[in-house]
Amino acid sequence: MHKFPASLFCIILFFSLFGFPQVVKASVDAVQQQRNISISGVVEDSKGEPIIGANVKVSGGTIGTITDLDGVFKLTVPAGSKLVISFIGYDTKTVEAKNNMKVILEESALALGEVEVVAYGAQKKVTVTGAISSVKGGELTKTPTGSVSNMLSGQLTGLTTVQYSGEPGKDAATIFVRGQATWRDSGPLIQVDGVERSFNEIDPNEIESITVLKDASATAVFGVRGANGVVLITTKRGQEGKAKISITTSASIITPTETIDKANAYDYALFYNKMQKNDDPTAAPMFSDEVIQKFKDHSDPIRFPDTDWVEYCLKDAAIQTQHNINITGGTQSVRYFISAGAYTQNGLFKQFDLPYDLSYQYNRFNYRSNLDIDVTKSTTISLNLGGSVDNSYKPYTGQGSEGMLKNMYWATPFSSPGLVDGKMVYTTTEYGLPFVGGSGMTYYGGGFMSTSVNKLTSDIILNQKLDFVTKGLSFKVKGSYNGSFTNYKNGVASIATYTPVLRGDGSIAYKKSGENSQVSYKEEESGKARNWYMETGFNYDRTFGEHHVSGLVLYNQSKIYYPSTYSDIPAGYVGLVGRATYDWKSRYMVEFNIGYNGSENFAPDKRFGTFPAGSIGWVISEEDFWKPIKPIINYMKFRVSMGLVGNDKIGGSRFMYQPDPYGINNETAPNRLGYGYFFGINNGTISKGAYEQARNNADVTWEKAFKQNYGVDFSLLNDRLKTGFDYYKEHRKDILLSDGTAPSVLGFTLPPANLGIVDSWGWEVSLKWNDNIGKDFRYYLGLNLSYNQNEIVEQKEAPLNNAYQYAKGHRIGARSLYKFFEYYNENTPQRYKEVFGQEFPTQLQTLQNGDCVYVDLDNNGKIDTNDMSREFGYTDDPEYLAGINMGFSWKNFDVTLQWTGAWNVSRVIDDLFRRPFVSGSTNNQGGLLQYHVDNTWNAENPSQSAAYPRATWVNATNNYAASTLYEKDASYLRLKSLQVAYNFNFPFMKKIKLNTCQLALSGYNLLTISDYMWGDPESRATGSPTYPLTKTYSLSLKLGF
Amino acid sequence: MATCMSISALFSCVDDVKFGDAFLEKAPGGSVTKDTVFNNAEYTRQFLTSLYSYQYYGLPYYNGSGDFPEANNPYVGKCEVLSDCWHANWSGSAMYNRYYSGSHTAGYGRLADKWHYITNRVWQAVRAGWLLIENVDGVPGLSNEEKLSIKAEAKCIIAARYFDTFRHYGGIPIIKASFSGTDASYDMPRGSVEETVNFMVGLLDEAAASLPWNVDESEASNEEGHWTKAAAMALKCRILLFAASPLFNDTEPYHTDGTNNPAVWYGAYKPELWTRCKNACAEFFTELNKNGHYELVQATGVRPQDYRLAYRKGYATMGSSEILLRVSVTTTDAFKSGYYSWHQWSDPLMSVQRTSYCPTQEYVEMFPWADGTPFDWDKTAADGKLDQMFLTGTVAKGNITLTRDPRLYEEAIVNGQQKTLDWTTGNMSGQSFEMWVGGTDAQLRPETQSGAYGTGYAPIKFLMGDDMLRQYTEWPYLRLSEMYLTYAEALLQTGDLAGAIKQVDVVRSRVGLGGLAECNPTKNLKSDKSALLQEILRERVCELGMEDCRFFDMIRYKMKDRFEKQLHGLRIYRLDASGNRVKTAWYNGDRKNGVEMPTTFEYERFEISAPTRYWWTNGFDPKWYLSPFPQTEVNKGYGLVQNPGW
Repeated sequence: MHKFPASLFCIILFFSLFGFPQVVKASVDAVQQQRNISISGVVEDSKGEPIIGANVKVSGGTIGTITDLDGVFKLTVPAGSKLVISFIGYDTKTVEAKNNMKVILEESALALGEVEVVAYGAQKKVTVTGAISSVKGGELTKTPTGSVSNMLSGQLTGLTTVQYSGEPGKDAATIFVRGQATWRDSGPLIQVDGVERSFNEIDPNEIESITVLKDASATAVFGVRGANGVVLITTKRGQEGKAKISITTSASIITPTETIDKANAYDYALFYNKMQKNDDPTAAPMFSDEVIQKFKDHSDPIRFPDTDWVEYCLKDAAIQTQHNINITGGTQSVRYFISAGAYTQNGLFKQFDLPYDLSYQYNRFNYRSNLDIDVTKSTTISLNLGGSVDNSYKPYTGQGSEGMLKNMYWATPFSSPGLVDGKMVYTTTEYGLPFVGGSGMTYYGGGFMSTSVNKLTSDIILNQKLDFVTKGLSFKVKGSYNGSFTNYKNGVASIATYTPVLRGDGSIAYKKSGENSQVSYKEEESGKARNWYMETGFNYDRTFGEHHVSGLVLYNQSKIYYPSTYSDIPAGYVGLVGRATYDWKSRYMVEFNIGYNGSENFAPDKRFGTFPAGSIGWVISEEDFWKPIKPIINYMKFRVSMGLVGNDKIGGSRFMYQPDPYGINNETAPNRLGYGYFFGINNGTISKGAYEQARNNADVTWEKAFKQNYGVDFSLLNDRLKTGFDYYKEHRKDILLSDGTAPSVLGFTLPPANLGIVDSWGWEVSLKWNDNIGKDFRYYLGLNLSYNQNEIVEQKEAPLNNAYQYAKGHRIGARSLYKFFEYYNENTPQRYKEVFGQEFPTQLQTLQNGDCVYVDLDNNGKIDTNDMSREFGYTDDPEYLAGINMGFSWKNFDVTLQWTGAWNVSRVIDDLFRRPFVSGSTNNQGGLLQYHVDNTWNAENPSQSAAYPRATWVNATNNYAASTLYEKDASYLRLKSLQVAYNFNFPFMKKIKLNTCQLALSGYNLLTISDYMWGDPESRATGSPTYPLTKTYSLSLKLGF
Repeated sequence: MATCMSISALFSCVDDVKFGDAFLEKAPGGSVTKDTVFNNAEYTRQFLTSLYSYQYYGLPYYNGSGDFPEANNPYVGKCEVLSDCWHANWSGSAMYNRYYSGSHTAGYGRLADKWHYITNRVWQAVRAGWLLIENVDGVPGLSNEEKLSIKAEAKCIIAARYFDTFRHYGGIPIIKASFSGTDASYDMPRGSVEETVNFMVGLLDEAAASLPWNVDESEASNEEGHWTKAAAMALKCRILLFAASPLFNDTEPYHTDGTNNPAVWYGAYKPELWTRCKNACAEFFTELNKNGHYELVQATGVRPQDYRLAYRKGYATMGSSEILLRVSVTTTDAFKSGYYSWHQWSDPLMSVQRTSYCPTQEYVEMFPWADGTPFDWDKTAADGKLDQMFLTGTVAKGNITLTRDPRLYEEAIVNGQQKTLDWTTGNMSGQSFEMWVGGTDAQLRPETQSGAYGTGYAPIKFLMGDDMLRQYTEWPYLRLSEMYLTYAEALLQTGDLAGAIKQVDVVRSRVGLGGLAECNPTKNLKSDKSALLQEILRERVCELGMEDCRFFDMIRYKMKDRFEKQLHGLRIYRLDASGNRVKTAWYNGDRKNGVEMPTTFEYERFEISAPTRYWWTNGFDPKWYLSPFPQTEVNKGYGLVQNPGW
């Protein structure tokens, strides 16, 4: 690092030499002055807000200025001249120069203004021919949540988000761009300021915009990294002008969206005895009448407790706060954006008396400084420095972060009364309880895990205009560094537990077992990551009359240290990027992109690949023949693109082209999946083993995606309605897989080969209506809707009897399920025959009334795995995702709502959500949902509409088989965010230069409409339940100076 | 140029400056490949060591996945519970939810078949064995003698892995080399029973020729566990016994669809197969007499507990003189280790009893009285001696006397049995197990038919409660007492009944039982072949309980009737002074009030009903004698013909 300043100095010196002549040239001015007048004016937007930093220029002249913080400009201009007033995102206006003028700029027809962020640069939005969608940072911060990915849900077309978990600091959504086109890693490439970085730890206040690149035209330049789509996050930068200070602070209350009701002890016992009776009418009941009575009257809450673990362990609400202060501004030559933020989220778990934090608390501190320095008129150096420190605390369960939830769900209500006088009490079977079962507080006293992550990112970018070589040419070089250091600190402890002992006099004493131990800190492994990125290239952008051309040639390379496999060998990428665009009058556009990439993970003769893409665009509304329609359809553009992109995320393995790897000196015992062995008598020394680890394939290469996109954008009715539509399809081939058709008796898994094929396709619509009623009421309504579908064309699965059994021919993630017919009764065989015209098949087991009946899909008279089909239902990731954004402003009020909906999505419930009394270790001493108690078929009320079949252990194989009965619609419509803001306008504000003072009430996940009963529809109801998703009520204050 | 230099300077603080292809990293140098291993004597020996890690271990001990042998997963369970001697009531196991329920099919996935064809590390072991045999000759630094020995051990392990699979499936594809995986198509039909047997026996014969009879005693403390000539010859006998048995060797196939399938039927009854087995046994015992080393562990006293200790030491102590080959997966048993969950999941002393292996009443009644005379329930009941059927005396009086075959107390926990047996003296100590309904240990479980006490008996073999704490664990893959019984059966089947009885008596006398013929004077054992066969099979399960004997005996002899027999448990009711049933504990109960330990009980043999087995009511389909091949594997079309009925 110490060499940096010297190098920097070199660069500055070098470019200063080229830059100075231009500076000298610039100060020549007009001699022959006409009569000049002094004018002043104010530039405002249609809401009456001053526009700061707008360009005011005399038409055809060199005189100009920009507006100040109040939107005011002052100029001395020749009398009678015209002023051209422009600002990014607004239509440029030309007006006559007068004194005390007021100019109102209309928002431009294109939502994000004039430029769109694209790969390695920006383009005029009107000439963009690829499939790109974007959102401004300001839209995101209205959603009071900590991770950016959750703010994106429903904001953009073509982006699927699924938030499985609400765990603080780990609640980031899984993101797909245009769904999944491979069953391997289908996550998109995510870049922050042009460098691959995670964005979930970024303070949303730092974000200027987020852009999603979807088609080949937009992503081809990323070569082997681009096939899954690309998400570009751009941070804010300073604008010339006085310092603007923005302060936001908010405090929120978080509550779980849905918690699951568990049966109380009384219902538990009754249900248990009944389930037993179902299996064996002669069986002695597990829970005796005396025990049941105790559960009912709660007369002995220590020996026969009835604990609702969810309620006992979870708080009703927790606090979340978010604070940010940022300063932006600059002079003509130095511009800055400096931000500091803090985010704290308390966990929902109660702390009880423990001296250490295990509540799932999460804190994060962010900082960022983005500087742009014009070293000369043609040389700009930008320095970005950003980072975060985050800390999280959770209990030590030995089962990861799921452990706590799992144990809570698997617990029985009578296992423990919880803490009694600070003692952790467990019940015992000595007083008639047939078993104790699991407690929901096994974590209690077990210690904690704290994780601290320290991230630093920095960029240095030099931009040199090379107009002296040829006009429009510029040179850029960029170097970036990302570092992160993670420290895991675990404190392991244990506590004494107690079991109640009934004394002769009826009082209760406690028998102690185990001892309290101090927390023993163990510094667990610390993780580190470091990577470097550099790019350098030439950019050319020039207009020749009605012709506009641009070109880009760029070289980049990156090195990632400590990758997950072969961590001692850094992963490197090199790439060449090329782009050429041409447009005529912004009416006909042609664009060509190419990426040329190399990755060392492939054999030397297979390392480099070329990924070309082309696109064309036609703004038909500019044609003469359009004129008659133009008042109605103000604008219309057609776009077509196609090209090839790659994906090298082929499952985490590296160097698969090498000879087959063997393991040696393996000292792991067979019981831990090792290859060592114990020879000798009572000999604890292991003999080392050597073994064949895997088979490799010298020919492995990346996945290839051939993508096509057809789009149309238009706006109607004076640009009040803006619409975009895209249809796309993709053919992904060379997906890595291990051929499953070879005999298993070969004794090894066949080496991965590029044999898989997936087709995917879909469409996206976005609509935005913007209007005002009267002067004070403005409103907008935006809708975006995305549909994505895919089909596995080839997966080389082991042969199956029927086409419907294969993953091939179905959507990625399609489940193999039996088709549920109905609950069995004596009429079922007859009805089955009527419906299917076939004899009633032999079921998985001998059925009793109320058992599940499945459909014999292959009509061979018996139900077996050949009747499991992947043709039913949907998958975890929705096919349709919709977002509705609406809002209005009235006088000083601003109201925005954001709805997100998803459909054609389902979850298969499993574990205790499917089967009563299951836990991780038993099938008959685990937890029970209230939903089971209420909705299980029973002989007294033999309803076909019950949610669960007759409860049974004996027929569990039949009744709890994976079937369409347990595939549950997880469609939802939710009010993702709602904000009501009031903008104060106190007289004193002017005095203290306070421009903005906004108080806002907002909420996140406020309302969820769904038929799904097993927690939040986005979470999973399986053996690995996740931290509950949360809803947030927030009060925030925003001040702008 | 200056620009480039500046940039170079910028990055020079990181690394050497490289661009383009040169920037990319090289693949890891010095990575270990086949050449590394087979150019180095030490690594080649390691390769042999890893082959040992692939061997069969007979207990389910870890909920593992991936390359983990599935049969060792408690969620599969031990197939002994399909026999008439044990019953499982844990619904998580495949034994319960697929076999007892009758729902097993060829379309099975993970954790469903008693011996999944693919996921028991069999084929990996076969491949690794051939890789070793194919490559060992070129390894520098190994003597010819060592090369021969390495190849012989590899052959033994291949043969053993074949037999582990053969006894579940019949004839299987015969693989005689390692594959490259690049073939366009495969033709690997099942070998016939005959071919498969000859393949295994051939490997073992070759191996026996190059192996020492036993691991040299001076090296045993570090090298015991290796295959020996004795083990190779013993496995050969076991294979030939299985092959000669009626399952494959009969006038008709076990299933009507097996007529044209030589992989499941010899095609006729071939008495010479029994002769072949008998000869192999005779060869083994000739060698044993010549070389010695192996012998049954004998008692040092004449109390039943002395015999019990001798038996326990014989099967459970590492380096026991009667174990011909043992397999280890870990060192000592720490009880609570999830990596050896056999105890944690199955021991009746654990508060959560998950995988239950409850002995049945039928099994317990197979054990004779301590003198060797057969046990008869009706007679005992009529004599009013049921209270003495397990033992007499009490802990308080210090006069507990075991009344039955001493092995019973190693196979099942019975009422009154004390919790500890001293490893040196054989003295029993600790509290008595209270197996009655409401008793301290059994609690209500015999009534609810749940947990390890679900039948009124609890398992003890390989568990042994606290006695096993921190003891070394092992699986006795081949044990000498099995050899006597195998020889006995072969002699019987070739007509030498007297010779057979003599072999059985070797095993009986070790635990203090009288001679078989003397103890059963009414059964004409010296002339009644079928009666003697029944006695040999009974003796086998008493001696080899939980050692993968009974289930395979039942399929070897196609015991459809035995499978279909409703099994029983025993409910013991404590009686109070006035003869009323009281479901209360003594040790954890009224002992504190000065009540003496109860000794009078009422006994009720009950029909096991939770769960029942499909074939008790629906009949036993002969297809269940062998496992189905996974349908997907059959569908691959390389010649794997499905077993009949599936």
